[in-house]
This record gives sequence, structure tokens and C-alpha cells, in this order.
Amino acid sequence: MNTNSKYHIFQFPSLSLATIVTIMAIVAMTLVAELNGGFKGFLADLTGHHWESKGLLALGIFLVTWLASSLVLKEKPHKMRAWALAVVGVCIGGILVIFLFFLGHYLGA
Amino acid sequence: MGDLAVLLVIWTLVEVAWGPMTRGGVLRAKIASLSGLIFILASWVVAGIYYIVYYGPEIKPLIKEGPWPWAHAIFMEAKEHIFLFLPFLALLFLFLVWKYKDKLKEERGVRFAIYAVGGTVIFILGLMAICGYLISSGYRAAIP
Repeated sequence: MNTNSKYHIFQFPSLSLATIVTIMAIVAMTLVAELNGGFKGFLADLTGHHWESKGLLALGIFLVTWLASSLVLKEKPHKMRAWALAVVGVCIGGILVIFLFFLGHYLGA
Repeated sequence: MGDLAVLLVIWTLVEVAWGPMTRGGVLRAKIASLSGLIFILASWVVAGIYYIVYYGPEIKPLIKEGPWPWAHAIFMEAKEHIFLFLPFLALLFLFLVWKYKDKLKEERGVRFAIYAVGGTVIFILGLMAICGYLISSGYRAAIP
């Protein structure tokens, strides 16, 4: 029996993955809400304002992903750089997608 | 609050990069990173209240009808959604400083992660300031 399989939630890989998934979810919710009035209405109905709902849903997605991935991922010192680059890459990509989407939306309107 | 958060994140990075990693130096880095997260969370609440209660009903219509409607259509829309990245990035940054407090000088992977995530937080906070300036300018251009 493996007595070393303790559940560690405070580890960089799971927090990084949670951050990555949350950012991608924020971008997806942003685009879908702008393209689908029904989804935007659903978000508004949840808390009274679509932006507030996106924030709360993002928090929920972060917590679930963090806790779930902690079951599977393990801390590996030589992978820290890769995880950090993944977080930064998804972040920059998300910023570009959001800006270009709203620019295109405005120019096409 | 966003401006204060930038200073606190920069302070943390300076402590990690050049500060003496004595108990005092580590404590300063931990306090600065925690304070940065607190200010970002506070700005989430305060800016959210302002955005929903005042900006939406009073400011947005003026900007959209004014000479710079793109100030809202592009920059406010982008800003309000990109801002949501910040609390999670700031939490990740805090975690890196607090968990690896004993390895801030020796472990290159830890230092790289702190610089990368901290640098991203600073970049987004700067972007928020620039967008805020453009949005405010759009409002000033719209009022007689």
C-alpha cells in the first residue's frame, strides 16, 4: 500500500491548472454571452447582472478545478517553469482574444 | 486600489530579485504579496459596485452617444472581462511567495514562476489603467 499518497491541495501544478481553466472559461463565457442573448440573460438572472455572474462562476470553476486536479497532479520542481509559461501564455492569449473580439464586434456592428 | 496593487506586486518582485532573503526580507515579500491580493479583491468589489450602480445607467449611455463610442464598446467591454483574470493570478502569485519562502533565492524554477506570474499581474494592471484612461476620456468627450 502506498502510504505516501497524501492529498496536497497547496501545490503549484493544481493551482496553475485551475488558473488556466478559469481564464479560458472567462473568455468562453464572454464570447458566448455576446453572441447568444439567451446565455447573457441566463447570467443576468443568476445574480442580477451578467458580469457579477461571470465572476462568481469563474470562482466556482477555479475552486472545483483546483481541488479536483490536486487528486491527480503532483508537485515536480523541474516542471515549474513549464506551468508558469502555460499560465502566462493562456493569459496573453485570453487578452488578445477578448480585445480582438470586441474590436471586430464594434467594427462589424 | 489597482495602482496600489501594482506597487505591492513590484515590491514583492524587488524583494525576491534583490532583497536579502533574511527572515525580514521574506516577511516583507509575504506581506507585500498578501496586500496586493487584498487590494485586487477590494477593487473587484468596489469597481463592481461602481460599474453596476453608476457606470451602467449613467456613464455608459453618454459614452455610447458621444464622439468616442469605441471607448465603451471596445475598451470597457475588454477591461471588465480581462479584470476577472486578476484575482486568480494574484492568488497564484501569493501562493508562490508563501509556499516557497525558503527557496526564493536558490530555486531558479521558483524565481522564474514568481517573475512570470508577477510580471503578468503588473501587465494586466497597467492595461486596466490605460483602458480606464481611454474610457474616462470617452466620457469627458461626450459631456458638453
